[in-house]
Amino acid sequence: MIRSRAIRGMAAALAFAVPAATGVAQPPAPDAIVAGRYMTPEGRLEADVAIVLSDGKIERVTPAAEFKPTERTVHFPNAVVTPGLVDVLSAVGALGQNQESMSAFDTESSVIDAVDFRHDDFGDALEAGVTSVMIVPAPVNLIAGAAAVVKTRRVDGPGTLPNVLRKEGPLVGALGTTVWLQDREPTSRMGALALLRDFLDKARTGERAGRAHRLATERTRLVMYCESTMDVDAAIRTFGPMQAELVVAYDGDEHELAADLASETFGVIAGPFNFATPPRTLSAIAAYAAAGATVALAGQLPEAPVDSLRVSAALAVRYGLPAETARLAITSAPARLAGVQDRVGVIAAGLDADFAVFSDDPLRLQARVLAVYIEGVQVYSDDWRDATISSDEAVRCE
Amino acid sequence: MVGRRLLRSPGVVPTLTFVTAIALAQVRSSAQLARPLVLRDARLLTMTGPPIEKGTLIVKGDRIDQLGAEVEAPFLSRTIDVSGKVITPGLIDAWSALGHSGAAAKNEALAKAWDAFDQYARDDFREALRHGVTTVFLSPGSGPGVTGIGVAIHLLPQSGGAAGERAGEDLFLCLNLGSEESPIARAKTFLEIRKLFRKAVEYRDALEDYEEELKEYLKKIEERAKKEAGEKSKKEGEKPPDKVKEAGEKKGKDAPPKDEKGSEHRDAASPDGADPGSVTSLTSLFSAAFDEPVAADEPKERPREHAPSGDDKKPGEGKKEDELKKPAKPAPDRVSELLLRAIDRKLAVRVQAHRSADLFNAIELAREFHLDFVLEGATEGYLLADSLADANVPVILGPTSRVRAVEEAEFRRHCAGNAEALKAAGVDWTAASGATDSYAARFISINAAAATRFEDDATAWLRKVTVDAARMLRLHDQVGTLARGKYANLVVWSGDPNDATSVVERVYVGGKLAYLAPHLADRRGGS
Repeated sequence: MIRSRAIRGMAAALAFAVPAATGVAQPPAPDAIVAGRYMTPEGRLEADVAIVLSDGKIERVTPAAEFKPTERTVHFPNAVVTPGLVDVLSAVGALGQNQESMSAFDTESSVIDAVDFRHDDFGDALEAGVTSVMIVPAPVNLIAGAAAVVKTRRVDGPGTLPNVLRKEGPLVGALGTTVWLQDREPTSRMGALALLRDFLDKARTGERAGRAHRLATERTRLVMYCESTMDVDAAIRTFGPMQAELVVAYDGDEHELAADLASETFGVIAGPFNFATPPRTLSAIAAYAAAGATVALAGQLPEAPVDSLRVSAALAVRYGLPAETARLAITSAPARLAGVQDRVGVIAAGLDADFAVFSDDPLRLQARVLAVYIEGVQVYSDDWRDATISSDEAVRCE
Repeated sequence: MVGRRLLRSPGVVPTLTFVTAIALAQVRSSAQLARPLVLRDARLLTMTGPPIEKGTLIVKGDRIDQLGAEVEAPFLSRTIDVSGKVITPGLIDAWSALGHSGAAAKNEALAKAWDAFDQYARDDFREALRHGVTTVFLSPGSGPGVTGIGVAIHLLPQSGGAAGERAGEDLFLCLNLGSEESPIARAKTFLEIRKLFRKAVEYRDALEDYEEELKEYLKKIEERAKKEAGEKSKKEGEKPPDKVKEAGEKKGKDAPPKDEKGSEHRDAASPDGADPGSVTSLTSLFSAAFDEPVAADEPKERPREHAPSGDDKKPGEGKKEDELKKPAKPAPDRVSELLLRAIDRKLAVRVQAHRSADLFNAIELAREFHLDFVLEGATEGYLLADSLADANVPVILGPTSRVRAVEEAEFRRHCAGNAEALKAAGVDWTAASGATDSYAARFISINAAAATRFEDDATAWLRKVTVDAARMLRLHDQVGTLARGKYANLVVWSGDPNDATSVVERVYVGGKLAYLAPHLADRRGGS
């Protein structure tokens, strides 16, 4: 028995160990989840609530004492129920396919075209409690195309649409050395900014149509990867006066820019962080948040470890980010920056019933994922592992 | 009169001054004279038993003197009210790169990690301390092979902003079986390491043989001297050989057992170029006996081959005296001497290995030479957990979070469930930063928390980075728990160390305040 538990621990076949595929009876969709603690829309952990579900949505959240459980009610008495985590800079299902480097401007490309919804990486994300991801084009163009926002649940049949939250998400661009190439323009920062200005002028006059024109003339969300402080500064100067909602994806350490980032941008995406991230970079996140910026942390799945969202949040807390803000930075803030705040990121009436159930506060790394729900349906359980993992499957660890 | 003469004799005055200075220094730093430190009314997570609520902990000198709920503060002590706080032992990174100023490009078995420790890496130390880390273990090298001697360091504050004090000398002999090389190259690495160990065993055999043969040789010389002297005295009726024999014995006692500059010695001892093998007179015979001819470099060139067996006489050496050819002492081999300490289990061995083939090799090496060993890395340990349990080898794991897809080959089979599989098989394990980065040491608590995710006990991580890490480093007599007589490495947390928002407020290393949280320092500065 102990043995099987050990193998269970090493197997990452979880997402694919769904009951339907393995003969374990699929539990009926619960009518409510009663939680020992749940995460409020403000990022606090509050005790003893019932989250009442209806048709894949959250109907209401009520004190547990006022709720009469039925046989379809699921109880997690010692656990913490949070919204499903959201990774806002991911390449899940599209790694290696999301890069088009021939042109400096790839405005019309859409990353959704590159997503393999049956990819194993979705299972790894789910295992870590991540239920939604914004998949972004690789940052090798000044404007690299449109992101897509999708859910991570397993796709069995031919249809993928139920998983797509936004087929055409924010535009994504980049400044910095990843954009400068030797075999096409730009090859330098100076060249990059000259090209960008020229692009925006033409977009404004309609010489460049489509997304480019909309970016220059309408309220459009733009996520800019900025490699250095100079890039952040250039992005704010270039896009600040426009209607565009600028989101700076940035993990540098210039606290001095925190106020500008807060007042002149729509939000900041920082991370992912690891154990080698310098102290100044880590403490910058608290400075951005203190200045009033909407701060989201990036997990960068699958290029970073599966729990990098939680690791990033825990490290930011060690360097002064309030725990509530850190919890929001991996749930509601990324949902907002990805433009899907009406669907996911918060446990509140009317939103999708997407949850991650942790054995403890997710900021404590010893907390494990006990269960994951997407639209009211359990899509992952810690317990299913025992029933489904054979020693052969343990090889998936390799 | 005698005293004055004594003082006048050379070397006595400096010696006395030195002894006095030492004695004074001892008194100045002695536990008796320093004011005891009293930390009052904290929750003590001792790691030896249940927590002590509202406990008091008393430090005298660099040691924990007393702790408990009912402890009286001694006279003239410095008392710090830490009520509501939590005290734990200092955290230990059992596989670290903190302050390591760069591994050698080429392995050198006699290298010591302490020599590569940058005592002035103050920013790194501060970061480590602010997260409760007080002790780190550094391995000397990084490449495959025998990498040298590892060291454990307490982050004890030193003058000029430096930090670091060795926790004991020569803690581990470090080997590295992991590398990114081809399977054949890696197999070769292992064979070379094994060859070094076998060479060490041969070296010892050769030394023992040499001792035997030298004894034999001296005995024969003595016999012959007696015989010759007898013949002479028969002829002349005078000069018994006693005097010569006495001188010989004396010289034999004084002869150094090892001589690193053996060849020079040999040249100097036979200035006349006389072949020590061809005995011409008693005097030259004795001078040859106590001169130490040394075999070239090869311990394989056994002294036996030089032994006076008489079988391997070269042409032209047909004299009868050739039987008394002096045995050659094997050339001193410091690498073999180091490995012999490991073989004799006087020095524990740490083996870095990640892939299953390398782990099996590590077990084989330890079995062949009866090594007292610890594994470092063991990325694929879950694949052979039972074999590791059979070998009874503790394992120090590296970072829990890795990305299989983008890692180098060593870590491609990384598995977050490694620790759980090892534990299930009964392998003693802990988790460390894995020497990935100097800064990584600060997050060993977070790493250990992730590694113990399968445990039901939420504080399992704390045991891993205190008492368990100390045991694996063989420092459990010194650190890792809060107990009487332990080295006073203490962390005062603002609250439950399990809580993500708790911060480290004070850190003591060897009883000295090594870190004070900025908000406390400000308050202290203001008052």
